[in-house]
Amino acid sequence: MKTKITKLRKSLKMTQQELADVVEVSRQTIISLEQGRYNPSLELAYRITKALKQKKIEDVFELK
Amino acid sequence: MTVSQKIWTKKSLAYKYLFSAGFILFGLILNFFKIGIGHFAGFNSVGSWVIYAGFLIAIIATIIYKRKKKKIIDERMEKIGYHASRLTVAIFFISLFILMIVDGIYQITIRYYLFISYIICFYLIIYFIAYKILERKY
Repeated sequence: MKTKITKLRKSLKMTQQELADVVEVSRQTIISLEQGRYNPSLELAYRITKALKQKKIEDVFELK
Repeated sequence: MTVSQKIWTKKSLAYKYLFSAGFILFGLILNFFKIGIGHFAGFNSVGSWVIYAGFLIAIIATIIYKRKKKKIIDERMEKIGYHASRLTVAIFFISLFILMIVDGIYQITIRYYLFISYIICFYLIIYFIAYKILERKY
């Protein structure tokens, strides 16, 4: 899974910890997601999309 | 997604104290009726060991409650934990098989409680290592 989390997070001037707090996961999970090591569940993907102020999941996540 | 933020309340602490009190009471009963008297895991009786375990539970519970640190367990951690458990179970069966063979060659004469203690510590270490390795993967 390819993600645009890093780019979108930086555009919102958010830290990894801040994003982690909003979506209620650990900072390590955000790091894993940004590096594409972990594929989130649908619910977590929704939460991240919402936290990054995007409308669609496809705006944040993309299948390789 | 399952997100749980484990925060110990006074109620959960009370349950832990009740549990440790049960241990202590059980140990006292064993000592009173002189059941399991003799050397046991460095203690003079099984009862004394159970009392010690009870106090240990109470101390650990108090320390965890006092820390009051929010602990987030997210879906990634659960996934890693699940895979680490599976790996530990696989190693458990393999190690049992190896132990059977070793026992056939050199008879294991170690005391039962010591053997179980070592084996539990071994599996805890295996789980910890498996978790740390899988943490890098996911």
